[in-house]
Amino acid sequence: MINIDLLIIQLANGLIIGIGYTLVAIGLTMVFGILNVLNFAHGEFFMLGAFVAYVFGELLGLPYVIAGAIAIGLVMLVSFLFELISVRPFMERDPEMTLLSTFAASLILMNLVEVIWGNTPLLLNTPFSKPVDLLFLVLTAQRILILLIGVLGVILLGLFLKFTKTGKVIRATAQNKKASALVGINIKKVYRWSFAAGTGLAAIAGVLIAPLSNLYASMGQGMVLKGFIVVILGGLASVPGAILGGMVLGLTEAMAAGYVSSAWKDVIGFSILILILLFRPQGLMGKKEI
Amino acid sequence: MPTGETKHRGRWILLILALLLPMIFQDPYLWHILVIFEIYCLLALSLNIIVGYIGEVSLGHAAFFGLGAYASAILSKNVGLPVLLSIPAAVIFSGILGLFIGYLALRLKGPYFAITTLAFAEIIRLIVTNWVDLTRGPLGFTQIPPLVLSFPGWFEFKVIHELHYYYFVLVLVGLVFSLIYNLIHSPTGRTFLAIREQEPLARSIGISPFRHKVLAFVISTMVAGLAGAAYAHFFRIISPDVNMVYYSAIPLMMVMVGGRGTILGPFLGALLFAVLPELFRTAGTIRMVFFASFLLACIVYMPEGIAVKIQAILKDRVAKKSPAQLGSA
Repeated sequence: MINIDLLIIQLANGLIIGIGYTLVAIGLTMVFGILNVLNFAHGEFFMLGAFVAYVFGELLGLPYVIAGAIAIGLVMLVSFLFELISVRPFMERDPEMTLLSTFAASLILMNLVEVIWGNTPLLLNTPFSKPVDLLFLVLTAQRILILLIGVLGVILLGLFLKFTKTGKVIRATAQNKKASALVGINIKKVYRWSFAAGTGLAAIAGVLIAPLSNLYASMGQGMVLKGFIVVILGGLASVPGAILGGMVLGLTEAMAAGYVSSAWKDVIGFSILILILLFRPQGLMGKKEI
Repeated sequence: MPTGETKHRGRWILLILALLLPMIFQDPYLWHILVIFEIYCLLALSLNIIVGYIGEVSLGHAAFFGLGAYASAILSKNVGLPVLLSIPAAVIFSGILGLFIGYLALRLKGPYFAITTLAFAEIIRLIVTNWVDLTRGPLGFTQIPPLVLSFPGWFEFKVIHELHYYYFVLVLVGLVFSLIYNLIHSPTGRTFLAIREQEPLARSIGISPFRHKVLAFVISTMVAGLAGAAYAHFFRIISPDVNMVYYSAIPLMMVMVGGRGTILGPFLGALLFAVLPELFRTAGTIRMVFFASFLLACIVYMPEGIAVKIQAILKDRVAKKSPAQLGSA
């Protein structure tokens, strides 16, 4: 017998977690589509988003929304520095090295945060902790916020890429770097802003998801692995793929946690990743464009 | 290219140094570091086969290190196998897992290969952490039996002392080194290099890149398993930590900083990462910040690694003469 209430709760949880995964994965997939760089440090921006929001929200006492906005802005600033130090030197010489350089940067950021805040899990409080009674289920306001901002963010990003001039420039660069450079697009600027946009989304995810559980320095590691799973699932360099992949992974994990065991739910995610890579390496919606 | 004679002389000097060093400095602390250095040597030699000779970046080496450690620990403690047998058994287990993972993952290249190895390593780590009945989970596996050298009825010798263990692992390092050295200089090894340098060309003359890559991968994972087993019976306590990203990251740094695809590189890298943590011991977590910054600086300024840099300085010529490099690799 399947308990309908439990099923609905698990589906809602899966959807919400899936939106978090999607936000993280879109950044990964954009950076891969445009720079051909697999950013291993991407999860650290998720983590930084949460920690900076913690500093401004809990330590300095600013309201959650303002602290979150500051966090997202600061993380984008950090991403400029990150791009400058650990991606740009390799873009012309040896792009394969970015695999290692972003990995090194990830270790630097993660351990730096652990040095500063130690390894006791921290709490980020949110004013949106009250439960809200929807017709079929009860969710905390924070979860509804994730749902709203996530969907809104994805739609805005889609419109931005589709209709604005910068968006068109980004898509052109993703399709063909040399041709874009020839028609006068400043590729380096596109790189920088793609990174900023991608890490900004990761930071949004960090600020939104952190209040659901704890903050710890290695939280980005788990998230970037999830991001990889989603990106591979949806097809590298495909934004619609990242959305679909995020939902699939979120729902699968929620079902696994509800009906199998939460200890093994991550194993299922990684198994999906490996199966997809082996049997459909282009992903569910894989196309070589963004 | 140094002549054969000078190369051999260099090797003898190193061997004598390795034999005498712990005798000269009678210090248990130093012996301890030396054993860690040896284990790191095994790890670096192992990963160097994948990174240096296949030309792929594996981010999941901890899986094989951890499997070797757990397999040997469980076989010797729960099954009661003598450690001299449980270590080779662990090596074989690692090789089987390596065959499985390599067979699947080596169809992919570059970032896809890296992610797949990372995902497999995470699966292994989760299994080790969650299969509490067998591995005792996060509590760790304790009281691992020590290595015992025995000849029934004649003698029995427990290798617990750091100095004795040092010589035991030295033998392993020597064996692995000569195995890899001879492999690289055999026709098979030349084939590895041909595939790394020019895969389409190698394919055109009838070489199967996939089969050679799997072979290299399996050899590498067996050595990683050996390193893990050596680790388990030295510390005699292991936890799922041996499967953490740290043990995938450290060998990668050793190989990249030391010099991938060179003979000397892994040893230099291992030396660096065995000694540096001790210098920064009081620094705690910030060690890792230093290491990673160091790695980043190395790949920016010395993308070929220290070994190649030293070679270039010694020979006073440009490091980018790849034929010479290939010959000495």
